[in-house]
Amino acid sequence: MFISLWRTFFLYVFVSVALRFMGKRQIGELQPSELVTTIMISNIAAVPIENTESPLINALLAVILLACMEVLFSALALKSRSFRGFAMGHARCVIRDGMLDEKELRSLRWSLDDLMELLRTNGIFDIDEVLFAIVETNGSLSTYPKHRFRPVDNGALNISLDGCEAPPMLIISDGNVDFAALNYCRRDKKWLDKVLASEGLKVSDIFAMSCDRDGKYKIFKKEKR
Amino acid sequence: MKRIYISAALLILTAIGCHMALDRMESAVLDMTEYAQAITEQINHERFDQTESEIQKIERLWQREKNLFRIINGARQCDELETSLNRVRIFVLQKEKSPEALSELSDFILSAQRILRSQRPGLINLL
Repeated sequence: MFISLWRTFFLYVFVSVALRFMGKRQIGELQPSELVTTIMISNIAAVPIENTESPLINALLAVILLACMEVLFSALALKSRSFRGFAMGHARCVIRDGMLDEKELRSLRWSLDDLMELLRTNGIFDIDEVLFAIVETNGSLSTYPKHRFRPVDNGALNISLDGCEAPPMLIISDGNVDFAALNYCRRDKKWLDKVLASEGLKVSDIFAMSCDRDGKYKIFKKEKR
Repeated sequence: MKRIYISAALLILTAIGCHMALDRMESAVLDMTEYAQAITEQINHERFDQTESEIQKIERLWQREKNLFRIINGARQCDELETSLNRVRIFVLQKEKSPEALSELSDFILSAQRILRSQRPGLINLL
C-alpha cells in the first residue's frame, strides 16, 4: 500500500520532469503537471479493471494522491513564481517585433512548418502580419498582429451600440425552463408566460428559446412527429 | 483555498492510514511467525501437547486479520498463505516429528514474511 503511494509520488515527479524536459511540443492545452496527472490517473484506473486480482485500494490511494498533489502543486505554483517557472516553464517569444527568433525556435525544437501550422490555426497565413508570437506554457501559440493587420472594432470606429452587451441565453431547452438563465436575462415566469401566450405556445411545444437582457427572444418549436 | 486544505488533510490521512495498516500487518506477521516458531520448537523436541493450541492461535489471528491482508495484498498472496496454514495444520495435528511438518512451517513463515516484505517502504521495493 505504502509502496504504491511512494511509487505514484516518484512516477508523478519523474514523468513531470520528463515531460518538461521533452518541451512544449508534447503538450497541448494542458499544463505539464495536469497532463501527467491525467495520463497517470487514466492508466492507474485501468489496471484494477483489467486485473481483478490487483487490490483496488492501491489504485484508489494512488488516484487520491495524484489529485491531492495536483491541487497542492498548483497552489504552490500560484504562490511561488520560481516554482511556477520550474513546474510549468515560461512563455517563449518566437516572433519579437515582427522578427523571427531562430534561437527560441531551435530551443523549442520547432520547425518553421510547426510555427506556420499554429499561425494558420490562429487565422494568420502570412508571417509578416505578426508583431509578436508567444508560445504559452501549455504549448499553444498566442499572436499579436501588426497594427495594419488588426481587425477594426466598434471602439476604433467610435460606434456605440444601444442596449446591453450580455449574450443571449437559452431559457427553454427541450421543453424545460432554465430559471437561472431566465433570472440572468432579468425576466421572470410571468414574462415568459405572457410571451408564450402571445405566441400561442406551451413550454412543452418549444425545443429551444433564447433571450437576451433586452427581452429579445427567438423560439424554435419542436418538430411534430 | 478549501480545496487545498482538503487535499492536505487527505494526504495526511492517507499517510496515517497506510502507516497504521502496515503497523497492524507487521504485528500480525510477527505474532504468526512467533507462534509458528514455537510450534517448530515443540515439534523438534517432540512436545506435542501445546502444538494444537499454538496452531489455533495462528488461525484465530489469521481469521481476525485476513480481510486487511486481502485488501492490501490482493487475493493471490493471501490464498498462498492460507493454503500453507492449512497444510501446517494437517501435518502438525499428526503429532509426529516429520520433515514435511517442519518444511511446511518454514514455508508458512516465509510466506507471511514475504507479504510483509512486499509492503515495506524501502528502496528495493520502490525500484
